[in-house]
Amino acid sequence: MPAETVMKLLHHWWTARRDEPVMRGGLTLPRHKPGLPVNGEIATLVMPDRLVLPLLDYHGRRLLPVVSVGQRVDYGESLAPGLIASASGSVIAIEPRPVMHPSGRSELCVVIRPDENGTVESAVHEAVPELTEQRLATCGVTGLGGAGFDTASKVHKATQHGEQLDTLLINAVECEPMISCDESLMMCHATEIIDAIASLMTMTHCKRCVIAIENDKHAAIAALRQALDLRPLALTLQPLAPVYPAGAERQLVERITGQLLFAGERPTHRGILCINVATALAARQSQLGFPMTSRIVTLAGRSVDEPVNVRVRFGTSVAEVLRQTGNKPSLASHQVRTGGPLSGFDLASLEAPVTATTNSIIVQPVQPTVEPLPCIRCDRCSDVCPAGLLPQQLLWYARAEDLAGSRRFGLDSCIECGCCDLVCPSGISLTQTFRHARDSQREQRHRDQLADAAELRFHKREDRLAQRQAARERRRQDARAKLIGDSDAIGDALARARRRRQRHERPGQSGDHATPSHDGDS
Amino acid sequence: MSTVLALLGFVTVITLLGGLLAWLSSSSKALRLGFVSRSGSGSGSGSGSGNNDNGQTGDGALLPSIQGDAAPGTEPITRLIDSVNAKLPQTQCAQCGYPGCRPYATAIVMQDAPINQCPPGGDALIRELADFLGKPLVALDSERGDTKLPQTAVIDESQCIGCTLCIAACPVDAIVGASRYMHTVITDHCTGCELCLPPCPVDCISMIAAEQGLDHWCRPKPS
Repeated sequence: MPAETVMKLLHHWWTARRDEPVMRGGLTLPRHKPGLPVNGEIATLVMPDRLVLPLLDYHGRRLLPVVSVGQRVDYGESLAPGLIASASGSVIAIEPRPVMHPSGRSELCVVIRPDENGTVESAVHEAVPELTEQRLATCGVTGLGGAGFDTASKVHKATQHGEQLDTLLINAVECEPMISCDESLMMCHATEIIDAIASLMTMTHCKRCVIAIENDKHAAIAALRQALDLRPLALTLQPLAPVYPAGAERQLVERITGQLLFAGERPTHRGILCINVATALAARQSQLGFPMTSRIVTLAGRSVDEPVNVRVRFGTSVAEVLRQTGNKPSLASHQVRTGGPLSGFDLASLEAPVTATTNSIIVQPVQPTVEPLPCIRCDRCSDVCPAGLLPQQLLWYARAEDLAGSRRFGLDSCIECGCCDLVCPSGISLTQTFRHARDSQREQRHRDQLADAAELRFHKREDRLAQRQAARERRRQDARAKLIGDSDAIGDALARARRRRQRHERPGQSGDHATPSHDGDS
Repeated sequence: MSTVLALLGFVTVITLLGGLLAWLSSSSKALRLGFVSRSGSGSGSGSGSGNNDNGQTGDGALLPSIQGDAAPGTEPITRLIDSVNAKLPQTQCAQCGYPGCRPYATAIVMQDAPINQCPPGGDALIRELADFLGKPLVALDSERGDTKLPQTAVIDESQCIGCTLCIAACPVDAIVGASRYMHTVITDHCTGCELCLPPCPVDCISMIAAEQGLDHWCRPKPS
């Protein structure tokens, strides 16, 4: 134990001596970046015969299509707000299909059969001298890092406070093992990336710009430096010691700017715009008039013979990607994962289409599930937690579905990186427990909101009914008061009635039931 | 001599000042404490009210901690009713036998009504209320109905005759329409209380499971 502590202190001292920002927690994993391009080129897949585009936004909310079945669509045409056609062709169906989601559910998708011009990718819009939020939105630029946020609204939020953007942070860290799509992009398109960063700097009027990159990406760093020599920009290229999850937004902001974000707070609240390097390039392409219709996907894993990075058009199914790269796994014997080995999820169907957040497809043989052992309180998870939490403690509250307790132990700050799972000697799925707890909490809040709204409507309705009743009562009383005040009218009416009764009673023999009909006639 | 006198005077003044300060600080502390204990979630106890929100229980306390969202200055009993009401599902279905959630919350607090009368809230609500009010756990009163999965009402619009009876029955204004015109349910507003079912003369309202998008999907708990 003391030896470990001494080593840790030495490591801190060493990194501090090298003037590198140190990160809290995290894991130093062996570098494993398969499928990097060898000849400076990234292959593009052949156009598939079907493109399936889910009608979902990055939250998973459904979108309403603006096209109909049988309609011809052009490349870059809008299919729904925020969703664009990745090839020209005809819409052959709008139907539920499996989507890229941990639930494995089917959702409504637009199915396009590309025509012979489908592969032609020309600029859809005119190039603009300066990048605008409008252009980012029309070209459908969303984050290519992980969460897939809408870039236009992110830029809008970062710059709306009226103050100058403090830091433009280009995230080129890509810390998760087995994913190398951003690294390949930097190796092959460094010049374009520097141009892209220049346009983003002009657009956001940022005070400073930092490119954060892991220091073991030697080829990428060299390529970027070379490009920067050709086009000098006022920015810092910051190599970082490779620690997982250094590329997580909050951790990166903390490491680069020294600002600790609150739970639920976004960097944009502090005037920091954190943009993935591939997203930056997509933004630049949108400035030149090209919509965002494809991304680079890393294909790796133990069951993949030749790991490779390929450019895949959105809507191409995972099965098609695997087929074109010469792999034929089946879900019976293989486990196909997307989003990364640590923070991703397993696919339930290979028909799920590639979207903006599909950074990797990892194919492994099915691993036997191991029954978790009890927690022995070894504390390793809290050593590695990059959010500075006590996962072993949080676990008890999350397991017991005690949301208030979980919140007290920082559930909102968990970034679901999976470090705690990796070090747990008991093999406990801590992260999945936290994911479940976070989602339950979100749903609890949603239910509370609905309940509050229902209660408000209920009370408004009660008030309305009470007012209506009061108004009716008032009218009745007014009428009564009018009658009582007009004493002659009542007297007259009573006298009339009396006279009539006397008139009828005097003949006497016809009985009582004749009386009402006579009354009705008069 | 004069030096000694001056020194003595100085010491006296210092002592007096110190005493005054001590008295002031102690009295202000007392004042502050009094303020906190009287008004609970007043402006002086921002941190305290922050910890109390949403279902934190009064661990071992005689009286449950009152939620911070209740308006300050109201009667403690009203705030207690507010806190209980905030836990109820607000379906306003009246299955509890009271004409709405707030009347039931009032009955729980004022008349010691049983806490197991709310089928939509189910066992989770009973657990929460038992924890909050320090009452024993009981099973749901099955005579009141069963806990159902989230559901919404749907009007078969081809059958609707536009009688407005369901609109009058809906406690949360989730049905729109006019006399002799088709009615429809605003799905987002429907609480699934089923109160619109009995008055419909043509039986054209049915309950379906509330469909939820991927944005409301919960990742499963590991086994």
